[in-house]
Amino acid sequence: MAQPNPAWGASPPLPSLYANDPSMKDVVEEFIGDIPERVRSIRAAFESGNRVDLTRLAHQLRGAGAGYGYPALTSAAGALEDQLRALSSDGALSAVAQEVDELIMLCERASRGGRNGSD
Amino acid sequence: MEPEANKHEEAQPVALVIDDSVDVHRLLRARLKPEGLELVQALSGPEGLTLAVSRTPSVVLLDLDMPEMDGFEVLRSLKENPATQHVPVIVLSGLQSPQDKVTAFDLGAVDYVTKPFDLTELRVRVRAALRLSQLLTMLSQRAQIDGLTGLWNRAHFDKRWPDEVSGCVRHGRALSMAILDMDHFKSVNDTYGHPAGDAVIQGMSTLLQRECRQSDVACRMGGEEFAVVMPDTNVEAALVLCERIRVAFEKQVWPRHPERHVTTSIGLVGSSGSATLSAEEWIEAADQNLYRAKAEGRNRVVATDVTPRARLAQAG
Repeated sequence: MAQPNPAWGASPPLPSLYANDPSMKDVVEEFIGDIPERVRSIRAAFESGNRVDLTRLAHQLRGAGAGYGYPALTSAAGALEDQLRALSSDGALSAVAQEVDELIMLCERASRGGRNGSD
Repeated sequence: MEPEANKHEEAQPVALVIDDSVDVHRLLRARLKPEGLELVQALSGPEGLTLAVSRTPSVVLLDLDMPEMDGFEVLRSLKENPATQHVPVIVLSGLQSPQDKVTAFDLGAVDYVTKPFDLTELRVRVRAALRLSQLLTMLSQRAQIDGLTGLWNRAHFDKRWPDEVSGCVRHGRALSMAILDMDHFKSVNDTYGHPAGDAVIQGMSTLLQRECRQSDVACRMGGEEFAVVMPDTNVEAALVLCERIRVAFEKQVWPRHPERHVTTSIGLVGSSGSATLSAEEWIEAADQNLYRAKAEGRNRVVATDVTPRARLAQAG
């Protein structure tokens, strides 16, 4: 779980809702530029069982996703954060593997949507 | 010299954003740009508290969920510090429980916006907070402005004067202060009526605003008594200004009583730097010079140079 998924390449790019908003162009580009690092951090936190870091990263994306024009990212990050907070203290992170996969997939799609422009 | 209220209205308002998320800073930078705000960013509570004092923001946007020092603690500190307690604070938070909102409002927040927030809505909420900030500033300034003359009043002098003296002592800056008291003012009131007396007081105010420089602070202390604080001015330069005021006032012709001129006595104390007087001692020394000016025949300036090892300078 939460390993690079070859199927991502086939999923459609996810453009920002603000792709055509000149006042948002720069910040959306900055966000897209940060996506690879965020994905690496999410994957590392998940694989090392670091629940605190994973919760913080999900929380940040939940708060920011819709602001950059990606409401789907906010929903996916919110679902992950809620699951993490609902986990018992000794619960294994494997219980949220599906939510992590979903979030990483959306990040990758957003990254490609930014590079390729809106579709 | 102009009332400082005007300066505040012209300055670009500062919005301080305290949030540990770089995304929030980025998004606010983009979305609040059209508001003509200067955005100042803090990534932690302690950094935000420091910037709240040094940058005197018109509004603070504060995240609650931050490591090290959470937003509630930051809010409490902002409201406990006299320098920041009146700045409107809008809480931006992912915490959505009613109890969190109640706590934030109880601690003094003016608004609470939940994340992810709609940036258009946030923009109008920031506008509302800025309006509140402007009204609070105006009220605070009005409380320090004399109603009859539009000059600063005694409350402003009492607040400002100790700071000026501290600056003189700590940084070795020159400083002078004069107390002016009109001569035989009561007889103007008694002979020509209070409206005539008020016109003379307003005439002095107009004269002070014309003669004083932008950096000088002219105050009506009460009745027919005025004070002029002259930062970065030694006693010799202050004496020139005081003499100019005295002579111009003496020459003024009053429409309600052209046959009667009014004069003023002035007590002046100044230092070229590093004075050792306290704020109270300085006022007392200026008062004593004023009494001497009255005793020696009125319509004169008596000045003292309190620069350490300075000679006594007097003029009449």
